[in-house]
Amino acid sequence: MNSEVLLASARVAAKKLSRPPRPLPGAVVLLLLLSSCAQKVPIPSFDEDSLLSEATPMEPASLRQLEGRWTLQSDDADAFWGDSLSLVVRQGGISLFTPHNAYALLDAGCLESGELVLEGYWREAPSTRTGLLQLFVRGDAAAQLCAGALLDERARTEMRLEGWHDERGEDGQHSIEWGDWRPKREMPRFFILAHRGGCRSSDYCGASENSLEVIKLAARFGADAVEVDVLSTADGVPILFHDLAFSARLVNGPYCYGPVSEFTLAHVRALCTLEQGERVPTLEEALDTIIDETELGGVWLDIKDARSMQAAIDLGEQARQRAESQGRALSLVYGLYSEEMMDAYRAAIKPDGASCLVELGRKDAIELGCQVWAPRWTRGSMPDKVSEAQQDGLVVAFWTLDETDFIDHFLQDSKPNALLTNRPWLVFERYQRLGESPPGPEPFPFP
Amino acid sequence: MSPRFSMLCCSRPSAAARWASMLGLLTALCLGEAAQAWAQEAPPNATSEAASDGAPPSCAQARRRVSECAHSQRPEPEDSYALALGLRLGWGTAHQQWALIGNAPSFAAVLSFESDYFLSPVLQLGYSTLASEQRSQDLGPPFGVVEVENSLSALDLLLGPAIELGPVRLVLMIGLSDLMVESKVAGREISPDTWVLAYAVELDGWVWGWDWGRLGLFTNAQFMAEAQLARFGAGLCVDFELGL
Repeated sequence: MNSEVLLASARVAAKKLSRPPRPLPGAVVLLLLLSSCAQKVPIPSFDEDSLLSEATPMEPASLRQLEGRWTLQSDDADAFWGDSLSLVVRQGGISLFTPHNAYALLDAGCLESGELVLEGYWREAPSTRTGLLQLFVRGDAAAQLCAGALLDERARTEMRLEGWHDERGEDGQHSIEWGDWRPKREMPRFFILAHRGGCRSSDYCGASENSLEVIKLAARFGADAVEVDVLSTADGVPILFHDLAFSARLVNGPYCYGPVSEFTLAHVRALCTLEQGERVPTLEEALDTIIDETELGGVWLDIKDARSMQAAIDLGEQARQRAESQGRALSLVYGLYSEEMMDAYRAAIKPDGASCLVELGRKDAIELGCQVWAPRWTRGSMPDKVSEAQQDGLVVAFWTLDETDFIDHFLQDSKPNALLTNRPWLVFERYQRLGESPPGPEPFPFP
Repeated sequence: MSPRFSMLCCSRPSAAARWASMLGLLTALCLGEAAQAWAQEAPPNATSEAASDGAPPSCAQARRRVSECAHSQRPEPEDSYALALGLRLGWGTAHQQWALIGNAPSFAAVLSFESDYFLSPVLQLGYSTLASEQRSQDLGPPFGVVEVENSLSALDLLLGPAIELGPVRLVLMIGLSDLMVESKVAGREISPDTWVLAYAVELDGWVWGWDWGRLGLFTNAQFMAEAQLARFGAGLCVDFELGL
């Protein structure tokens, strides 16, 4: 190769490289992309170190005496756990909700030593932070709770939750203690709706969105009801899935690409699994799970395509009747997010008392005879319109609020009847601090 | 609540997505350089005149001369612009989240616009089979054990800049891939498809050159971030000068 030409090429390259770097919008976009795509979060467990394996399970009625507000006693943990948190008992387990977007799911049992042990994991969403948490109740309180007795006043005043927590990827355990128990605030005519069955896949809450597994967790996250997305397969089977097309965003499988409406249920079963390996559930399976395996009191069926409407209404009615036959209250509302869905709902054959939810205007909800008006949060808190809607007998549910500041603002400014959220634990805790009972129709259509 | 809003969320962790994003940035950088060169450098005929006046050769001139060294039988084009049609025939492996899902041949036609500028635009139309399988699977009730036959292929339309240094050409491309699934489960066939963004990088090494073109070997990598797919391939490449 000619040395002169090589020299010229090198000169050109050097000239380009020597140019001062310029600020690049592309670099910012790249950083945003990289930071928004975190790794999966494995849920930690105690395995063989568990004390619960030696403990006697507790009756939920006894455990419920722990429900309430607990004040943090260890100063050094304040920044993460907050000054106080809520403890609730759901589906036989204990849930802790902190004011800073973290929660813990624990199981409880009585040890031979007379102590009550609570074990499980904590998570801070949507970060990747997680770890183990082990707490003990000791003394008279533990003795009375393990005996299935009612706590006396002295035991209640003196009871403490004390133990340790660690963090995945970091060494060491940190001691922690809560005390100063107070009863939790009741939430009449206010309910928490968990988005996509419990939380989004991107929140890494231990199960994929719109899966049976996340639905089973929703009540433990603090939700009273769940919102699930309904689409139909090519052979007309309603399934739970959010996007109109399968893609690697929400499913695994090298052959799982393309519009949901082109896949039969057999193809969905053969080709697709949800992000964390769960099966894509049918609506029927989801409703059965809600009735048989959760304490959830309501379902918002967010119907994504008009051809799913009639099948969803039929399955919803069957589920409602089955729940009723078991003495179980289950409210179902059919979500209508567009004019097309409203037309499909109008045309559908509905049972008496079917409930619907309109995401468009308040007047659309009234005209269609719907019980719930669900404005998008970006329209603002609209206190006057919310108040007018509530006076018109509508339940007002904003979607989808996940950030502390906005949750606080909406709770205080417009007093809605419900918030749809990917972080039910956060809404629960913020309501405990700031919430006021909203006005609303009686009897209230949701639990 | 509309599904379209969900597209704003990046919910899947993926090393492939990160690599693809980096390639996207590189492509943007190169396109920016090309635009800047277009705006700042003198027209090609002026550059030629400057070179004949004893001024240092432009990068495009340098590139052409390096190319001459690689295939000495190839005369310097009289025109400042030229179109070249290339063909690629190769073999590659396909990976989903880095796990191997298949290997199969690929074909592509490449149209490149060569000029005196440092970067040359390249347009590529390609087809590749990514994976195929045949198996029995228990789908549970009510389906039971069924026969499953699947295949996944991609039709790519990619565009990007090429940099030619001596006998080597580096091409960075961005474009769209149509992912085409054909699946037969329990005797019923479906063939859904979906379009995804694709990023590709290709390295061509020219071995022989003639008056009408040149022949070489290529290796390439393609990333479809939304689909969490990556494809790595290698094979033969041939370019035909079309003139302009």
